[in-house]
Amino acid sequence: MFETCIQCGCCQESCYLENKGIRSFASVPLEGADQVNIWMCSNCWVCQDQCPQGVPLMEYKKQLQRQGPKPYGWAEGIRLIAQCGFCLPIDLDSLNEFRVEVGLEPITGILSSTIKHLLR
Amino acid sequence: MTSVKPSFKGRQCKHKKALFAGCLVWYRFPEYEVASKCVLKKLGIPIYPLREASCCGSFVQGASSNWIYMAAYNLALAEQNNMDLITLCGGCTNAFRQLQYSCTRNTEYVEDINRVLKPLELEFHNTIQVHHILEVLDDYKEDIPKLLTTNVPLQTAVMNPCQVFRPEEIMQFDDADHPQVMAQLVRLTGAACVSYASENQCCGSTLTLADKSVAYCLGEMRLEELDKKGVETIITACGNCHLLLDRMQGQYYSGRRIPGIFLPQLIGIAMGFSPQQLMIKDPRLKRRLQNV
Repeated sequence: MFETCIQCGCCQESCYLENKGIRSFASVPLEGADQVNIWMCSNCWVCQDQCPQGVPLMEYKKQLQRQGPKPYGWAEGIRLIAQCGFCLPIDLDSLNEFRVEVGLEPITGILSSTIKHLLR
Repeated sequence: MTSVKPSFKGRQCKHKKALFAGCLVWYRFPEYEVASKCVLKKLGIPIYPLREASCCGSFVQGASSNWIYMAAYNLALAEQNNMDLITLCGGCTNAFRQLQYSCTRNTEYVEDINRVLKPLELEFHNTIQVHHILEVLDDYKEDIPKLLTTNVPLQTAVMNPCQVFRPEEIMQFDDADHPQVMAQLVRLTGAACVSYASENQCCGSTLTLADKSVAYCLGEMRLEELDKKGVETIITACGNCHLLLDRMQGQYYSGRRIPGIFLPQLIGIAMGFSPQQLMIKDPRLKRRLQNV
């Protein structure tokens, strides 16, 4: 994925975290993935947009993230999706009670068998 | 070759519209959904429910390549019901559009998705449109002033939802380096909208899942800047940006509180809806906007 990278550093220079002295994913092309917290990225896409070589940095980030352990918040959200189809602990009964009170239509959730099938 | 993204209005007659609020808005910010529905109704856009929707798949991207099936599932549901989607968060918009973009360039991608969707009796043909609420409101910027009944006397600043503008090749909306649309929409309401140095910088909210102190520090820097500018409220158009403001000011920040409101809440006030109808929670802001 980095075959076309020319080590120009545009990714690092364009990252708002790096500009504040915070080591971010945008340092991976120059420093290597083992030197950087690959979860230190907020998906703003600026590094990829600024890359003169069109390196698919965000796709590379996803692949790296899939290979290793996830920070607690991410792992928990992923566990919840597998359980209820949402990345937050949505209890549809109580949420729908509230929604009706404020004039919103109740949510019909995704079937658990459907989630299992999609994430199998 | 640059593809031309059809405008929201151009699609209006063909498909019904569903609001895809997404997990965070469903769970934590019903006011964003309520206010969006008020404003869309006023603009003459009927909204229909999308039943059995799930997380957009954005959250799963760092865990599994199966995220595309979750995104495609929601789009196929909408297709089955002849609906276009209006999204409220940058993340949902970005995930759906990434998938759509990949599918226009790779038909094998679509075949693979349909193999997975077939047992669910769903088919994905990549035929619907997904637009963030900001894009919809931008398409109606000439109609909005005709529907306004009052000027909103507030000093505001915007937090641009970065994933609605980038990657530029996919999103094709506004100027990603210097987005203008959101501030223009705010100014339609009569509210003042100040420019500031970190205006076009990502909110950093997602970082709370990796390192909360970094995310809160970014929020604090923004608030300090806006405090100096005398900003009374920050206008948001994404659940994630709003979440950072809400959380860090509740738990961490000791400076002057600057409440956030969602863009449709601001436009709703200018359209004559009450703060109660738009579920504006902050007590000071609520009083301020009661009789404008």
